[in-house]
Formats: sequence, structure tokens, C-alpha cells
Amino acid sequence: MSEQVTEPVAPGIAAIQQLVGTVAGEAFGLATRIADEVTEVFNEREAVRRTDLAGVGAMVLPALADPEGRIQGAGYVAAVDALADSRWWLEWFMLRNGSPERLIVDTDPRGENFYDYESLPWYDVPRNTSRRHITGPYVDYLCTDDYTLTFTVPVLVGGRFTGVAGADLKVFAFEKAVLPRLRASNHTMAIVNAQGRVVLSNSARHVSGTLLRSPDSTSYPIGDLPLALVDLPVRKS
Amino acid sequence: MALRFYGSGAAAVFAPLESLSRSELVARRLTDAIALGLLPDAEQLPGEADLAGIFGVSTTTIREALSSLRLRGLIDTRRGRGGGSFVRAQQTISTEIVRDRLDELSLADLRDLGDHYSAIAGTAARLAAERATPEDVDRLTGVCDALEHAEGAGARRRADAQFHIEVAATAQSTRLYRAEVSLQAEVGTLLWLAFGDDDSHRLTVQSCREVVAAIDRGDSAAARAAAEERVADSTTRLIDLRLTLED
Repeated sequence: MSEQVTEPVAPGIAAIQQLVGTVAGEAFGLATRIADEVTEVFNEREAVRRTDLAGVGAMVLPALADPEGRIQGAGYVAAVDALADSRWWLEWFMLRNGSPERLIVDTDPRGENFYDYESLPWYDVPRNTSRRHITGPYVDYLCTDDYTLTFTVPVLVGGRFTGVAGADLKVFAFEKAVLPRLRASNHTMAIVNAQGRVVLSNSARHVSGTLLRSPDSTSYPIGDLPLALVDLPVRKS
Repeated sequence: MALRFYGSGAAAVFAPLESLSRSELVARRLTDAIALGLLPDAEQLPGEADLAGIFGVSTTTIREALSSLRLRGLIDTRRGRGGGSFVRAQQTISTEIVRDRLDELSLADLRDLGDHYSAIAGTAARLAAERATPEDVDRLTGVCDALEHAEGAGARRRADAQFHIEVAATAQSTRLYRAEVSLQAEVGTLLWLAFGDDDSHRLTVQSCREVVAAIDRGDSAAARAAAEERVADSTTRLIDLRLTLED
């Protein structure tokens, strides 16, 4: 979308790139561990049932309980018909009012509030691209009920898409972790996602959630994440 | 205490928190959910202790609320194994509830509700036009399609509510989304009283398409105008209906 810089960058910018990599790495790291666990279950069994997924909770609950952690929720969402005993299934755990609980949604397609996740970007993009994806920031009214970033990775078993594993981070948790470093950079900058939506910036005119429609500014990639650091135009008074 | 600078506006800060008792509030919330179809027929409600936890009130309060719902025939309570409270949602009961609610409101109250709703829906649509990606527009179009194909008043009402919630989510605003949900709960049933037939459904779908088209063009003024007009139209229909109750 914009001119990408591959030259050596200023130390302030390198520090932001590194910090964002660490924060995103925490969420993607957990998602990847869940994906590995689920893959192992699928490799061990002919037919996988909901009860075979107990390892997911065992992995997620300590992460949610970690007082230093930023994870708001995490788990595995099964591809349609991947499990033997339920066509749709979410093995997902989340913090609600500070305590962990399993997300309970209607997985019966005839139900009034059926949670049809197949078209949602955090599921759909990893399925279609076989790549990890960051969804958001978005108003997650189905799960966290808050302004959220969702990090998902595809669960591939012998090349077959078997669902996604993922973790949620509140936008506020991301902001708390990254904003001080962004402020210290002496640049007016934004971290934007692949759609050009601002995840976080240090400019009051480009707060989280706004779309950046003037992509002719310099941008710096953030590792191989679907995020970029963009110089914002400074408004002349 | 001097409240010099804020004048009488500050009085709102110190106004009583709620004029209804807690059990009335719980009963109203459940009644609206049943009338809106969020709690479908035959759905089992959580147990008293769980409900008390969910609403953050005592089990005595829950018991009072449930007993008023039972008196109005909105739930059945069965004892023993497999027992509990089950929703009884017949269309006629729903309509009756809404008519009763409508009868409690003055014409000025209804106009005021419309104004409030217009502020929320209009702003949500304006911001959505500023912040929607092509993927967001696709999703909104999908919700419009679902609305168009919805059959029956209940399904149409849910699809319409879904549309408004998606617009607020496209605006990237948690607060507008929450305001939208609480307005849906508060006035959604009322507004729907004057809707649901095929003609008004066609108009609803058409106005949703207009909002999405404006969002797609990134035309925030047109998106706001279309959303406001839609609310104004619903409010007028509702006030017309309220007027007929006087005959």
C-alpha cells in the first residue's frame, strides 16, 4: 500500500517493532501451542470427539490465570464436520469479570442464536490462506463483548484444514503494552493492520479503529506480522 | 454542595439511579427478551441462583421477578427432576405486552425515544461510512440479504436487530454497540409493533440497503441521513399506532 522501508531504521522504531513482535508473539505463541496440541489429538485418533480436546483447556486456563499475561481468551474452533460428535464446536475459554469460563454458544444450526462462525474473518482468513491472521481491532460482541484483537492460526492435519486455534487480546491491553514506547519514539506514527485500520497510534486524530486512507507515507514492516508501522502526516497549523 | 459551574445539568448526576425496583427491572429485562424473541419459546431459564449471579441481585429479587412473569403467563415453572422455568412465548402475549408498554408512554415520550435512537443510529451509520473496509461492506450486505429473506415477524425482528448491531460494530464503537443493544431491548419491541407485515418489511430492507450503499460510497452524510430517516419513519408509525389506542 505504501513505500516500504528496508533500510536500517531509527532505534526508536526498531524498539517498537520488537515490542509489537513480542506482544503479538505471546498471543500467536499460545495459538500455535493449542494448534500443535489439537493436531496431535487428530493424529492419534481415527475419530476425534469433544471430550478428546481436554488438553486445550489445560493449556489455556493457566495462561488466563497469569497475572502478568494479556490474554483475554483462547482456544480451538473446529472446522465444520471435523469432530465426530458435533458439526460445529468451540473449545474456547475466556476471562469474564476476571474469572475464566468456557465460552458457551449455540452450536445447533436450527437454534435461534446459532453462532455461525464460518464467515467470520478470524476463521475464514486462516482457512482460505493457510496463514495466521490478526483480526481487528473490532467490536467483538459475540465473545469478549469488548474492543478486541483476535490472533488465529490454521490447524492443519496432514494438509487438511481442521479448524483454527487462537487467542484474544483486548485492544486496551495492547495499548498499555505498546503506547509508552510509541510515545517515546518522537515520531507521529500508527500501527496499522492489513486493511489499513489503525490498531494503535500516538496521534489523537488517528485513534484505534480509524481507517488510514492516505497510504502515501513511509511504512515499516513489523517482522512477518500482518501489521505495519506508518508515519502519520503531521498537520500543519 | 455548590454546583455552580454545571448548572442544573449536574442534577442528573445526583438523580436517583433507577425509578423501578430491582425485581421490576429484572422482570422487564426478561419480558423484553421474551417479546423480542431473544429467549425463544420453551427455552429453559437459568436457575434462580445463576440468574441472581448474572443480574447481580439477590435470589429473593429473582424470585419476585419470576413470580411476576409467571402471573403474566410468560413462563411456566415445573418442579422436581427436569424442572425449572420455561419460556412461554406466544405471539398474542408478545403483542399484548407491547400494547401495554405503549399505553404507558406519552406521545412526547415516544418522540423522545425516537430522537435518542436517531442520535445513536445516525452517528453509528456516519462513523461506519468513515471506517468501513470492503470486507465490512460485504458483511453488511450479507446481513441485508438475511433480512430480506427472513420469514415471519420473529425472524425479521432478529435480522433487523442484527443489522443495527453490525452497523454499530462497523463504526468500531463498543459504546454505540452497547447503546444499540440496550435501545433494541428498550424500544425494539415497541418499534416492531408497527412493523412485520410484508409491505413494511420491504421498506425496511430498502432503507437498510440505502444505509449500506452510502457506507460503501464512504458518504457519511448520506449514511447518517438514511439511518435517521429510517428511525423517523419507524417512530412516526409507532406514534400513529399509539394514537389509535385512544380511539
